[in-house]
Amino acid sequence: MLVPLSAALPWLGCSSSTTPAPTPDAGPPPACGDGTRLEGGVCVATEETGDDAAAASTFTSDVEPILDRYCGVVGCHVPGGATGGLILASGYAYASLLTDAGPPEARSFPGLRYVEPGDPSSSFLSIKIHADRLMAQQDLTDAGLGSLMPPPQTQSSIGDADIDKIDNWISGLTP
Amino acid sequence: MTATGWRRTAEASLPGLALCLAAVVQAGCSVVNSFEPLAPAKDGGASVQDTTKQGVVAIGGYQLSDGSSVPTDYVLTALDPVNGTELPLARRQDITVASILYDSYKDLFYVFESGVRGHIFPLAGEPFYVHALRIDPFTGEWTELGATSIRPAYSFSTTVVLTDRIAYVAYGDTGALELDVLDTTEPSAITAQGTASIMAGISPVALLGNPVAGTAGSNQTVMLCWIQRPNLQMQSFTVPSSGDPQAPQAPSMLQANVGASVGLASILENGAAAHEVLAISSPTNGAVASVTLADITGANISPPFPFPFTDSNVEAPTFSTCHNTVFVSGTNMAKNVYAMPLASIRSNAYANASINDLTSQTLNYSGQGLYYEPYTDTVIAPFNQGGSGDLTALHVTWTSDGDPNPPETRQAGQTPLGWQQLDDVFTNFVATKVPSSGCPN
Repeated sequence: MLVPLSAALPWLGCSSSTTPAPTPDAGPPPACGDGTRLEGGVCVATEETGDDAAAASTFTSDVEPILDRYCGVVGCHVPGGATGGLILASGYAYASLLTDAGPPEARSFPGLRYVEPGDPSSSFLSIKIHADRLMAQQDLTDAGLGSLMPPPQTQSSIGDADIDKIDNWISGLTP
Repeated sequence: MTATGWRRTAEASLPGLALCLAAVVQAGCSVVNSFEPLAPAKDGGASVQDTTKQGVVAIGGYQLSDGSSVPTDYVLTALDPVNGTELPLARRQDITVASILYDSYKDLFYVFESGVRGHIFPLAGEPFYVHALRIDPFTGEWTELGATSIRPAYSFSTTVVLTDRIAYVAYGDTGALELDVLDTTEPSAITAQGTASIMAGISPVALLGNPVAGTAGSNQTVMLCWIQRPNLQMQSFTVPSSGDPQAPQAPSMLQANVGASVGLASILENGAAAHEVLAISSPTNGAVASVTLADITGANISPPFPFPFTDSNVEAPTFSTCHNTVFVSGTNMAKNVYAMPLASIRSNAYANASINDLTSQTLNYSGQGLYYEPYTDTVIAPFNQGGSGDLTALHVTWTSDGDPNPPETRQAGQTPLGWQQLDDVFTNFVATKVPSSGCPN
């Protein structure tokens, strides 16, 4: 069962022993069924409807370029990369964040989905890129959610305008 | 900079191409980027100097237009490792480089090209090519020996050169990952040799192997690596002289307590005397990082021992064969490059060390990968993210006892080894020329 951030925060402050165990990495499926296509090694719906269709359009034009520039770079969230199995490179990001089976849970924190449709404040992706709006870095660390992304050591933070684009996209998704 | 020397030509697809996807054919499988021969420039024609004495740093990356952080062009180019300047004839525009490998026995670079602009990590079914290119290390003039379409590579980290072969993880016809082998005996006519299925549901992080003297025409071995937390899993594949690669045994667990990542490297110690795998795990959830040495079949040479590394993400180490020294960096928290003699790793010398005991140098940014350039004893560390870019060069020297001194950051204008930053190319991939012996002498 997924835990909204607002409800999870008190619990997140528990000792690290309560942190859910990471899940095994998953690879690409062998084939996709009707109404789906293979994207980034994952089967995704070939068509979206209603609000999700509009959101997907925004994703392609607005969100994906941001994720590609800041996250899907060599050494980070890419196929074969070091960081946690979440792939956010161009062409991969949508399928990583939204699948026909629903938004997947964060591998490093199964209590949260990467994207919680309609609710950026409960979305792992949004929390990680602007933790400072929601909680202090130390709280983020104490909660087992790791570092702000991109890490401050990279000296490459996502600007507010781009963060707003990502949040707007999540807000526009149908829960 | 205008696009020069770049054209598209029709080329016959591989005969009996068992590996070629139908989707690729539909997308233009027979269309391969090829290099036009360039007229020698007045100041940079074909070199008459001894090319065996000069290194090369090949780079795949992209350019930005003024005021934009969105790539406007993808390029291949090469640098003079002595001063970091771009070789005058090296830049090629409009090529989305997905991986670069150097073949030390043939003295050429294999450049993997994504047929979809900007997809440095291609998707299943997309057009994809490999070029065999030789470069004049003084002028940067590329000579294309051959190019052909292949199935798209999963990642640069799972592409490897063997003797007369390339092995890489490819997207198969159904989208599942498979191990493909290309025969590069004749670089002008690279052919698909065979393919093997790999375990479903895994996300490979490395494919390890090396060209080894004397292995032409005989079986070779590669090691496929993935993380099944908290364990590192490895499976060796035999690459025969013909036919499909084979997995002679079940995957083995090399190491426990792998955190978010593991840095893996294939090592040719003392030239070709040993063929080893170095695994450096990241720390997480209170566990400490560890280092393991294994042979290419996965058998432990030394058991894992604690390593005082603090970054949660470890990049693939790079290695100086001449000096038997390993260089390690992390991605998130660490901004240092650590230099460790292999002998110290073997003897477990770091087990009780603190991070401050390690020989290191700080980078301007967090690391995204390391590459060793043996002609100038330089570690090259690229970084690019969100419109920021850097290509740091660290010069390494050793004490008379063989221990590395702290690497020194090379600067523009220094002599004899300076480093001029490329001002308009952001680096995704680096490959350096390395002589087959490992040492330029």
